[in-house]
Amino acid sequence: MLIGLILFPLIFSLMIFILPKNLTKYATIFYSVFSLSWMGMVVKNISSWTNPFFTENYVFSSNLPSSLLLVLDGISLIPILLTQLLIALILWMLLANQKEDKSTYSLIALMHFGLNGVFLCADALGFYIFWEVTLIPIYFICAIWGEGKRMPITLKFFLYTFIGSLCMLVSFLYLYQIQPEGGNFSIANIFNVDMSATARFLVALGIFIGLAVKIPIFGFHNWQADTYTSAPFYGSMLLAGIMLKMGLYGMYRWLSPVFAGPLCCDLQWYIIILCIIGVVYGAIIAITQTDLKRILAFSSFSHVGLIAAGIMTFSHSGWQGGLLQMFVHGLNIVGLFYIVNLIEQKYGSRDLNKLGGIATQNKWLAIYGMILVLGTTALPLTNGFPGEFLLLKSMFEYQFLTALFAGTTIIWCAVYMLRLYQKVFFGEESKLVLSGDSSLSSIEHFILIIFVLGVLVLGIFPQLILGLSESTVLNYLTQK
Amino acid sequence: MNTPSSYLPIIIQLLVALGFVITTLVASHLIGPKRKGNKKDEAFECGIDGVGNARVPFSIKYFMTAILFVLFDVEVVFFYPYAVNFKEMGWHGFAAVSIFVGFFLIGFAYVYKRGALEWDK
Amino acid sequence: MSVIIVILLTAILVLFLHIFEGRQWVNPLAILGLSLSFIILCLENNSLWGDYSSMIYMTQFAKVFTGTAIIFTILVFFINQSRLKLEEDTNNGDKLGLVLFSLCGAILLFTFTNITMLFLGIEILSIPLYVIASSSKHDLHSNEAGLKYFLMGSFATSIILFGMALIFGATNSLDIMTISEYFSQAEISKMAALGAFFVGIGFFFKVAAIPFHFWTPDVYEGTPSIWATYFATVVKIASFGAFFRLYILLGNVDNSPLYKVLVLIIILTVVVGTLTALVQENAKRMIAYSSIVNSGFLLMFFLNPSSDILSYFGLFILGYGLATIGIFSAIVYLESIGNSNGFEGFDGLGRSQPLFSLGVAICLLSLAGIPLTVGFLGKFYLLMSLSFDQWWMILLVIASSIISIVYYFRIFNGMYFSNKKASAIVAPEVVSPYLNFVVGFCALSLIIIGLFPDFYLNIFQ
Repeated sequence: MLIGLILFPLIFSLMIFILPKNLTKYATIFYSVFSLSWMGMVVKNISSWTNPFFTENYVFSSNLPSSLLLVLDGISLIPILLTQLLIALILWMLLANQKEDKSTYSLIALMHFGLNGVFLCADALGFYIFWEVTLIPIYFICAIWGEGKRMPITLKFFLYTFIGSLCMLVSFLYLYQIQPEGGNFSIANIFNVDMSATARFLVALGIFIGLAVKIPIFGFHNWQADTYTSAPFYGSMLLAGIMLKMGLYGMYRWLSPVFAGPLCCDLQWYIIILCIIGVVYGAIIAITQTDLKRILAFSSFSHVGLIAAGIMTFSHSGWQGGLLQMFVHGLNIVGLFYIVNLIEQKYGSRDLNKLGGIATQNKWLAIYGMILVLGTTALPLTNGFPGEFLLLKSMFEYQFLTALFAGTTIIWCAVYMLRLYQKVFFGEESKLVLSGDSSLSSIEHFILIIFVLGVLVLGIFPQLILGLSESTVLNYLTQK
Repeated sequence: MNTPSSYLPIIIQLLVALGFVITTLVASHLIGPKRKGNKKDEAFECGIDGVGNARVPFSIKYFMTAILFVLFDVEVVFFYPYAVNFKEMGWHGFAAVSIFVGFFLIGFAYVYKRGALEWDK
Repeated sequence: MSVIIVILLTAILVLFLHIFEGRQWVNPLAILGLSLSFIILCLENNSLWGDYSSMIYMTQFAKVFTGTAIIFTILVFFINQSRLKLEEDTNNGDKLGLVLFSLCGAILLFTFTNITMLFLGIEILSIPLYVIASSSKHDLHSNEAGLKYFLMGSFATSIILFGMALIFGATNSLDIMTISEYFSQAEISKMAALGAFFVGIGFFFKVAAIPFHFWTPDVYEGTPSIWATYFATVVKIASFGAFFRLYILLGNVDNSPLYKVLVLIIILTVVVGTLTALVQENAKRMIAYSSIVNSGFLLMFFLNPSSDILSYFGLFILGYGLATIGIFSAIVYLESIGNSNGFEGFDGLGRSQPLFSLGVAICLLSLAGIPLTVGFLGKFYLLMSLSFDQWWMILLVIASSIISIVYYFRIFNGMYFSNKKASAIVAPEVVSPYLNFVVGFCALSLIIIGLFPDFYLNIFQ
């Protein structure tokens, strides 16, 4: 069952190289539909909603103290669902854009393989391997199809993440080595060790650095805005929509168990402080930007800071809110990136000052944009609201002061999002907008409607997502 | 038995040999008469003036011949111990030496065919 | 043992085929002979070769290393075949013969049980290589390489010989088991310690550890690329195979006279090697320094020797060798279309030869230690073999891996992301099928063994 989620993208990724060019389109459609329906089948087969839903173990090598251990529970189900959905949507967007380069599709499929692996693998070494595997295709995507000074920017991104993940690997190696004879890298064993408070702190720090670079958390974020801006639109989507969730997911699965014992210093507090600084800092920077992609980059930086802070409180509302917000943020940011991409395609710019008055030319785009912007600003009855509410609640329970600062995110977000919306869609039509092509094709409508439905449906029924992880989160938190 | 002092005779022998060489060289240099002059310092070439530099490249053929000679010369060196132990080593030894000689013959054939011995080429 | 005989006979046949009007069959014959010897190696039982004082013993370790060396040589010959299509070489038979002779020396280095054999092995391995290094007669760099290699190599060999003499003086034996027993005593004489020290220094020369590395970049750069491949892989394996066996045997590791020197040299090698590789402007020199850094990593395996380490050591060196051969075949291709050895020679290769450069890219990723390749597993096992008391070594591996990304990716970036109108695009010549085969073989085995290391590791048991 679960192995299909990993194998199928890999097979497709190789297949597409061999297939003739004119079949790429059909193969991609088939692939996206197949992976969605496979996911549907997996969900349908879940018989009991107790933890974990599925476990599969494949032993690769008798010489490695590790195996391909796949676990699907509530915590991994949500990012997995998000991945399948977004990958399919991104592929459709590429098809709608008439992108013909088949290596793009192949790389995205390879990315899909790595992402599914990261979210499913419950073996530290396997997790690390998949984690690194995702780095290769995104490196290619950004470096080949990017814009601007893409080479140094992409290399910076690569080095940042590589350094981070090596820190994580050292922590895992340490956890393995202090196990008694016959230990292995599986999640059950690797955290079941005794260590001093100092060692525990260092291990947690190593894992945290690896995750923090990917999320990114304030202090580790230097690569983010440049990379998002210079990457092609689907690269930014993959980065902001899914890869970022790898870090957040890692906090649930790989960071929180380290906090089960005493640490020699209050790392939890420091991490939350960093996250909150990120929330405020990202938002303020976002207000001053004029490049649409940079605004989205900093907005995403600001939003994930809150999610990470919520997770680090280790409270029920924080965890549930974090999971919901992971899903919602992925959906909204990708939708917004798509709108930015459409604007850039049709009007030739994504500079705030050169745009304006799109609403009068292209009312549908304005409507879709409005709903997505409102979703991001967490208006009640949109999908951003319940997650943000739960996260802020967890912050309040943790400490009043942090909650005070974190709470400003709603105001900040409204400021930069509405500024963006007003400058782009309202006002006098700029020259570019007048000369641009203002129609939407039916497939573009179709893709945007999916995002809009996501905003509305999850805004009214957040339980659709929250229900999936409820029992797992309870289980996790009571064990701790 | 196996102490450093048992190597003493060797060292003395070494010192004597070295001392002899150095003494004779230095002494002859000091004692002998010295006269300098243009003609005197020139290399003696049957009374004819020397022309050019003595360090001209030699034809590679000389080296080839010399090296090949050394190789086959060494082969002969190996035959001495075999000749001494001819009877004791029996057929086994004979086979070993035959293989050894065989290799040399093959090498010789190769050298010959490659034209290393053709002086005029 | 029959392996050595088969290779030797092949070498002689190759020499004669070349002079008797069979020039185009020389290379295929050499490959055939090596394949035959590989098959024989697989069928042969591990055995002590009893004749002539039992000086050769084919252990399982020796067997795997011999097999690896043979396969690498076959790959080098395949690369050579691609060159023969393009140019007439009147000395090809000689070169192949010399390489085969030196391979015999390499096998002696894996199998010796007597340090006389060790010395013979080193000499048989090295002497043909001095000729090979300067085989491009009219190229000054090649001549320089040959002379440098000869001087440095014979210097190293004589130091090893001196060390051996001291060890013999102390232990009164040339047999390696006796020597090993002597060294496992609590107290060893100063003479023996000094001997071990000198043998170690000599081997540091041979494996190009810093500060004994100065010959490596010049030799790799000057030697014709095809044979530089052989130097960087088979010779490296051979030297390391011998050194590792010797180090374990001279064991008693904790108070081994070599231990402190070893630690110092590892640190120097990895730090200086990595930093120097960073500033190279020539792909061959970069590979030379990367091979030095890898020597440093391989030396780290010496720190905690155990029975498992042998196979991990083998895995690491396999990954290094395959990847290096892959990159060298790209260099050979670029030279054949007249590109320079600088990094700019790689510009645009990804677009003009997509499949070929995919293979090269996998080799580079493996060297950089990215997962799903042997290179990653090698580094992973290296980290596993180090205990956390040696945390500074772990730090060294990690830091060096990160910096190495920068210099490996310079080739990578040139191949795929360069906008420059590069000569690789201007000359859209096809890559020779032999080169394609070599790169494909290297890349596939890197991935397959990277996914299923059991294929390789289980042979050691």
